Amino acid sequence: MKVQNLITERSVAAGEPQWLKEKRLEAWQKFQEIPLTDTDNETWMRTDISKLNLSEIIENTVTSIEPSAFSLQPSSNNGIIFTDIKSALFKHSDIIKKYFLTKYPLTDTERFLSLHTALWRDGVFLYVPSNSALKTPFRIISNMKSRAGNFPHSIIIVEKGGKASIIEENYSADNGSQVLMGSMVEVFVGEDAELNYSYVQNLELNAYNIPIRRVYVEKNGKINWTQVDVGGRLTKSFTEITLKGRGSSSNVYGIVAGSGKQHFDISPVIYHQVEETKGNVLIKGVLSGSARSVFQGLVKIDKAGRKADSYLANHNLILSEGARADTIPKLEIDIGDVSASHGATVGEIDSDQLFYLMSRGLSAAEAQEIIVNGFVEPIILNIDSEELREKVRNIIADKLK
Amino acid sequence: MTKGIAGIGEDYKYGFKTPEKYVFKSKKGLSKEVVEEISHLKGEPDWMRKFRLKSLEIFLKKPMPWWGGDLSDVNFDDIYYFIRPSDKQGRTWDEVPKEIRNTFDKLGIPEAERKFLAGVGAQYESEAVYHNLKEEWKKKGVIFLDTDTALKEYPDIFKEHFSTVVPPADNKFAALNSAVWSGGSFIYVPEGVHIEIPLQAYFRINAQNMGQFERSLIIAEPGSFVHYVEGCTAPIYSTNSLHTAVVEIIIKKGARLRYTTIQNWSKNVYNLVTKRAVAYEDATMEWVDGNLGSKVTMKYPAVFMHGKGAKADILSLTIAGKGQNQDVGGKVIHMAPHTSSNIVSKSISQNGGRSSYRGLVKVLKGAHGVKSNVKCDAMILDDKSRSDTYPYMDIDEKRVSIGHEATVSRVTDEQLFYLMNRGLSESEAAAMVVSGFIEPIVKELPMEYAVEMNRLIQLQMEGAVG
Repeated sequence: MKVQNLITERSVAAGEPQWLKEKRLEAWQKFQEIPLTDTDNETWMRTDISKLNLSEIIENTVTSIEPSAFSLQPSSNNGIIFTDIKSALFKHSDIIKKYFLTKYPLTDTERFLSLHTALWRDGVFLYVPSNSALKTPFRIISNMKSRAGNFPHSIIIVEKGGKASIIEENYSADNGSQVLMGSMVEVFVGEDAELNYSYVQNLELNAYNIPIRRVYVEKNGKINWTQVDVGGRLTKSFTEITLKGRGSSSNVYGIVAGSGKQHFDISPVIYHQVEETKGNVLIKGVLSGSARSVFQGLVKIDKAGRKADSYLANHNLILSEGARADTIPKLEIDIGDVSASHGATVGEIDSDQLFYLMSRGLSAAEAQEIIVNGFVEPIILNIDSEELREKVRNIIADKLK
Repeated sequence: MTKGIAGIGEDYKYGFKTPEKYVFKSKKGLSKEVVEEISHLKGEPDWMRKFRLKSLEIFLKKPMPWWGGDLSDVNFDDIYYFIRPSDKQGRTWDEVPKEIRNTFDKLGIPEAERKFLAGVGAQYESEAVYHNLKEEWKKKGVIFLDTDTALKEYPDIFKEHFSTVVPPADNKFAALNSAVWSGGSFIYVPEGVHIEIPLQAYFRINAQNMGQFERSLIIAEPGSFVHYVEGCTAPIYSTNSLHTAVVEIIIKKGARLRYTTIQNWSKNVYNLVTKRAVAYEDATMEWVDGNLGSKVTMKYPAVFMHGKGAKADILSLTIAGKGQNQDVGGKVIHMAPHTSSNIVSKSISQNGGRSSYRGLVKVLKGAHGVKSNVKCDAMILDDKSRSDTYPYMDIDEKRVSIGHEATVSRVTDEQLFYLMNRGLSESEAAAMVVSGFIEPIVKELPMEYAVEMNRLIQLQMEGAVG
């Protein structure tokens, strides 16, 4: 049966509203019309996904009857709603319709954005009403077991003056065949609101990981985003933060720790749309084996972005002969009265540091581990859970041994 | 801000035109016939004619670049591809036709030659009208000719090196140049010869809808040194002209070459240039690239470091004013161990101008011990202007040290306040801040250009800050 018919059938069977079914079909149509990502397309030119068997994954996805890979503990108190998106679709359909994929995409992610929109299933809905605050982080754990694609869609809304924290962990089981994680998160941070989002993925090596994140921040709102990418055969992540309100700010921190033949392509975009906004991006890569990382960061400041202040940085430690790092920190500045800068470095471990530690009785391997820990620790400290911080330290240490 | 720093627009003092009295002017547009005609008029060997025709095919097949400046207004059918200004080339300025000589007098070239230079070439439209190298350098075996004459007089050296650095298929505009090239400089510096004062070439477009396609080839034998300076200007027309040059440089073991460009085309010129050097063991290539004029410039001087210990320095100074898009930068390809590179780019955007730094640092596997530093600073002087930075770093080797920094800033109130406190007017203060910003590059320019640059900035900053 044709994919289109299966999408319709599944949407109807799930009791989805008409508008959502139409959105899926429209996206599927669009997905088929967009040409394959090729090397002329700058977004994909350094990341080769030709080995990803997309048609098989799509087919398996639309015929799959496997249960959800997502787990969360639903809760609601003081008006805070934390639930799976399917229930939210029925209980809070007006909010979902208002926020679900209504914004225009910034960069050329359209092909996977369309695929995601056509096939999405599961995900999380978090709604934090005005002036509510919850100290304990909300946890989302995704343990992907299927043989196909996973396309969870999450919507996070923090209303005016609200505060919240989210922890998302992605894992998978290696059952020998390729799997695709095509998640998407839409985040809306209201006026004077603040959200911490910590993301850690340690997928198995059969997984292709192409997450799309869209974050919109209103006046004086703040997003702290931390992402740790350790696993997966290939990761291509799009994290786009739009600073829409005056005085809004964002911090994006990231770690890439690769070994073997892993490939990571991290593309954060900070888009300053109005005046007095603040952006800060710091992504650190540690690469061993013949792992490869690509950083394509972009700071974009609109004409209206007077007094914007933005910093974009990418630093890479190369631990082995075969590893490789490409870094492209771009600035597009449309107005004079701003402060924008970037920095990027690629290099091996400083031999003086190594020598110093070894002269104090450490083996070369131990000394390297300490230096790498020191390199990534400032990023790890931004994860909002001591338990997860410790887990990440261990994962990275094991990985680079 | 009322005026531009770069002295373009109403203050562009090189915008005068000279009446056209040409020996030959091809008909507008590009075709196989036009290419055959150029080759025939030049009396070239057959291999060159074939090379041109093959390049034309490549040009027609290649798409326009999808990145960089807006080229949608370039009409390849509306360009004159070949204009022969004079039927013979002068060895003294007296032998140059009077109108053309007057042009170069106004540009100050003969005077500069007497004062500062070891040799001068002057190209007017498609071909050189004057070429001279001082006797003492001729005696040492230095060759400094226009490229057409070099093909006739030194066919072997020419054929051995021509198109080995920039093949026609490199990009659409290299292919175009390969098909219709005419003029340019040919320089050969024998082993161990140090030419202490610069050689200069001056390129002038005079006709409307002109396409200038000079092609330069420079060969520095082991242990030699030369500093080559090129300047360029054109009259102001309401229609577009095209300048598409190719420059190929070969620097052999231990030699050093400095190539300084002061690009000051009028604002109706599309300047789409491919410049590339190959540096062998312990050789040094220095690009000093000043871009003040033109409508759209796309130019990324490159150094391919083939030999170990080779060095590359790229200094780029860009000023983008009203209606201008300067898309410039540099490329360094580290192919051998212990090679080093340093790129410094300074740009100023004002009056709605757009300047972009686009650069590449590439380190191939096996090129260990590479050091590379890139620093891009941009200054945006008003709210209408734009600055972009696109630095690409592809690093395929572990034992390297690669760094990149960039900042975008403006003249701050604190800086102005501080200087005005010390008795400077606001425009003097602004000019001083801008001069300080570009000083690290200006000091590398030949003296007469450095003086001119500072004068322009002072002049143009009057009433500039509001």
